[in-house]
Amino acid sequence: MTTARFDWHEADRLFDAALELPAEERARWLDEHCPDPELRRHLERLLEADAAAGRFLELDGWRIAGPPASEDDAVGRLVGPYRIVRELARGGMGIVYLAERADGQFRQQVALKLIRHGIDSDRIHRRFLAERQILARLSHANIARLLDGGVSDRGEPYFAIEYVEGVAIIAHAEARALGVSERLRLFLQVAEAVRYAHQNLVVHRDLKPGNILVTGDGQVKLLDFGIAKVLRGDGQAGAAEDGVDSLVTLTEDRLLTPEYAAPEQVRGEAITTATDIYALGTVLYELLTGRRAHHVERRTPTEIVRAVVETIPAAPSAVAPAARRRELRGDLDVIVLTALRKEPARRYQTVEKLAGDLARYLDGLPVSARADSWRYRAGKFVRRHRFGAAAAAAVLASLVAGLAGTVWQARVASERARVASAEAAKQRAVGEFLVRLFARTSPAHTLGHDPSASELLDQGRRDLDTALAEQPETRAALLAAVAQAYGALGHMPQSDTLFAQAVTLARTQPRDADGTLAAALTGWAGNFLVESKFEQAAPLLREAIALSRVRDPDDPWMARPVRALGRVYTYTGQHDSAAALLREALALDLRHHGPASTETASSYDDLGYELLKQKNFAGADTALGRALAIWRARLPADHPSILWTLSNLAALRLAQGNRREAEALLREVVAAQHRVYPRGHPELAHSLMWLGSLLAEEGRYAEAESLTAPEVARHRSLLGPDNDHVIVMIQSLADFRYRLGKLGQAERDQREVLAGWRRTLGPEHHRTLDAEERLAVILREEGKLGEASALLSDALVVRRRVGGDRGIDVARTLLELAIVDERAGRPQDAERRLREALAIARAAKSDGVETAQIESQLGAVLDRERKRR
Amino acid sequence: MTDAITDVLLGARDGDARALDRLFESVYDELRRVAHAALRNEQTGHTLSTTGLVHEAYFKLVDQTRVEWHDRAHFFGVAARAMRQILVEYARRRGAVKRGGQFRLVALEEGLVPADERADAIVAVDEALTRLAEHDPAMARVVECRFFAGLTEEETAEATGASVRTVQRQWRRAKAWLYQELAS
Repeated sequence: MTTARFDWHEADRLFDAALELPAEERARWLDEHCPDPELRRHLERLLEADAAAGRFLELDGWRIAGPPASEDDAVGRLVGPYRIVRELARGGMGIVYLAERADGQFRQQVALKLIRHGIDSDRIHRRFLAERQILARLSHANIARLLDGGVSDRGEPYFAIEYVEGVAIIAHAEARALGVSERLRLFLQVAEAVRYAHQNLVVHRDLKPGNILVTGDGQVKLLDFGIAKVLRGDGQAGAAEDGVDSLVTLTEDRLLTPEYAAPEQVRGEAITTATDIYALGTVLYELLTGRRAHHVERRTPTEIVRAVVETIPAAPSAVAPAARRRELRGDLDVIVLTALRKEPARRYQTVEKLAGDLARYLDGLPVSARADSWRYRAGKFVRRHRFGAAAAAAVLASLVAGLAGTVWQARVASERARVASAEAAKQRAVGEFLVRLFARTSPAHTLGHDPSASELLDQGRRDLDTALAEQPETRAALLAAVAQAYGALGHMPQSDTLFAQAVTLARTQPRDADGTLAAALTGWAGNFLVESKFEQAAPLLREAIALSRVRDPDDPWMARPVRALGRVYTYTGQHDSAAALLREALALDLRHHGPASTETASSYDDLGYELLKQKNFAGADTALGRALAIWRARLPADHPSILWTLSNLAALRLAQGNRREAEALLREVVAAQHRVYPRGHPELAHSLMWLGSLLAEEGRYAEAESLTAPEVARHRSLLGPDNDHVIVMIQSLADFRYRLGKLGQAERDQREVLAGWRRTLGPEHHRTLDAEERLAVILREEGKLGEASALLSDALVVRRRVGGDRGIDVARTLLELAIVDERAGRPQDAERRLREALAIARAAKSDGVETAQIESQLGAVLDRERKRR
Repeated sequence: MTDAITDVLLGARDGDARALDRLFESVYDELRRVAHAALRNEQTGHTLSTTGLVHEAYFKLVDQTRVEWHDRAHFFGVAARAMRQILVEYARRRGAVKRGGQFRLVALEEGLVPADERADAIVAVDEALTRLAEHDPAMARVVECRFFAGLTEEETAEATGASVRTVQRQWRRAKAWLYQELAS
């Protein structure tokens, strides 16, 4: 209730004056003429109400609530086999009663539509009977069913329709505070009913929220085919043949509801299915925005024509409640406004097409009504994969960002070299490439198949095979961008190949004028970093840094290779060099990009990890915290960078002895990476192994196994069987299974690991030898002593040759071999080996674990020997 | 009967307060009778609008030959208040109570709305109108004439003694005020 502390007459004066102005000028006018803020608020509320009021109170009180006939007359009356219970509603030509069968055959409640007394003109009669005939044609779950019909003993035609206990669609959506997608699903039921009617050559012609009920279990029921028409063979409804559709009739009889009527309807032109599509547009508009597409202030013919024929409704996103605006902007705006086009031919041509676009919107697919620009398709593609396969989003983000970077660099270079025309050619080439690429996500192109990010990249790569031969620098930049994208998806082999091509091509250019070579080298090194191939990353990065320094000492992207090289040193334990480089990178980023940039966040992140390695926990905490704060402010949740920093934070917590928090953080990271990389990723593999070993350290092998087992296959197929991450992951799984006593599975896994290392590292690498010994141990536990002994003997030979006879590894192998000998009933061999092992262990002054193990094993062997004698 | 009403009407013009009361009672009774008959009985009932009812009552009650333009205005004003009361009574009899917005505004806009909801809406309009009258009785009268009695802008202007332009402004203001009052 408004308790006004202002002058009502002043308010009236200002209100009346404001209404004389066009709506968009009122605010400014009020600024000048209404200094009182409270009065101003009051006036704004009133003006808003005025705009929203529509036909509010235009129907007079009698029509709204006049004494219903049922009170005196109708209740209890028999109409055909039905007894009237009460009035439900009244419409333009009849009253709808709730009635039930009176013949006692079965209890059935129906909506009984009876023509009103007093309006029994021939025309109304015909129309009433037409509705009955139309309903008889239609049998659909979303259309109130015709049950019966006849003539009462007083000669009034009636029919009985399925009684729908429901709420009008808008009220239903509001009452349940439905979200946009729920509203759309509801609407799709309406569309389905209308589609069915059209298929049966019926146009409804009076679709409006009041005619669309939703039952308690969420089913839509379309009512009131009172002015529906059967289409002629030519698809038209027989325009205005009896004058019913003319404007005069429209205003006199209120047979139509002008707010939902199509322009051709108020003009009295031909009615087709497009008329219903328009009305569906008005219903959808109101369902999504809570506002009507058109406000008809006064029901005069000119006013209706003005509103319906001349006014183009505001975009739904401009008038919807604030919470829904973002969702409506873009696709839904376009879909609704396409349905609401004034010219029938420019609307959706069928209800299926309208419904199809809505369904595609709900699935995150591009809609047909949108213009075919690459920005639209790229944006759509990225959004579609935001949750389902965020890797794709990452891929395209990197692709587009990479190209933006390229173009930007081109601009810098061109300004200095004054080669503006070359730059323009490059930008054009990049733009054309993107247009071609994203045009492939067009449904017309894919025929319903939704291309994945990697398919898109494969296509881009094929395009690049032939494109841009005359612009090698641009081609190199695009190759590097696509390579970067493959890398982000975890497709390392493809990425490496393309980076190699990009680098080779860029090297053919006389000088790295626009930084293409440096960027490609840095990107490629990033792949090696991910795969822990530090010795391959370092030279690429050194070259990139040198190139950048020569080309432009003030290169804003210099920090990237510097930072990456710092990381290499962190991982290879060269901590002084690492810290120096990472601090340099941080300084560069702060200078060029500012304290809140993602570049700076990367530097904080890497520096934090380095400080952690130096056991400077407080410093690490601060740096990682800063990185995380920037990421979270700048990036969407689940972004790979956020996850990366979180896993670094987990490492910090573990180093600080806080296992619980470390585990919680890792689990958060793994869960997010599952969302982001549904097809697997080296970073996911890394986090999984880490979490697995954390669990295994606590003896939680079963948890560790169930975490790891499902990941092996898809990472093997994603990264290839020779990938480090894949082999190490299988090794972890073998260890967990061995610990759980699942020896058969452990053996199979371990054999795969061994084969993998033999292929990739050769027979003499310590990892290969470790794998042989682990396999031997599993075989030994399975009682396969012969093969165990052979493997260990081989490993022993190699170890002696590679590391000499006195290495602690030799002692370990001797110990395992002794246990096999002992089990195989060769106690003397066992004793001999153990004595050699003991000598090595004591000489090596290892931490004593091996010594103790060997001593206790030797003791056991000797003990059994003694007993046997 | 007709002569009596006409006398009362003429008396009311002369400022007889008791006459006004009697006028209201007579108009009210007659309107209610006409209203009932309108839906019960075919013989009266090709008219379903309030305007029709009011006019029908007027023709029944008043001997037009004896009443000037000014008195017709009086009649409309009284009839509007009577119609308001009749409609609200019906609504209440249908079980409408103060439920504080348990209806949709659409109940006041569209034809095909459940009767219970329409009844609630009528009661809510009536209550809001009483509040409006505290601030601006003239504006409330316009709503009474336009909405409850279904009078045209011209008839409303006649009944309230204002210009048509003023009535149009008051009507639009009142609708906005009631809309935001009922929508909130």
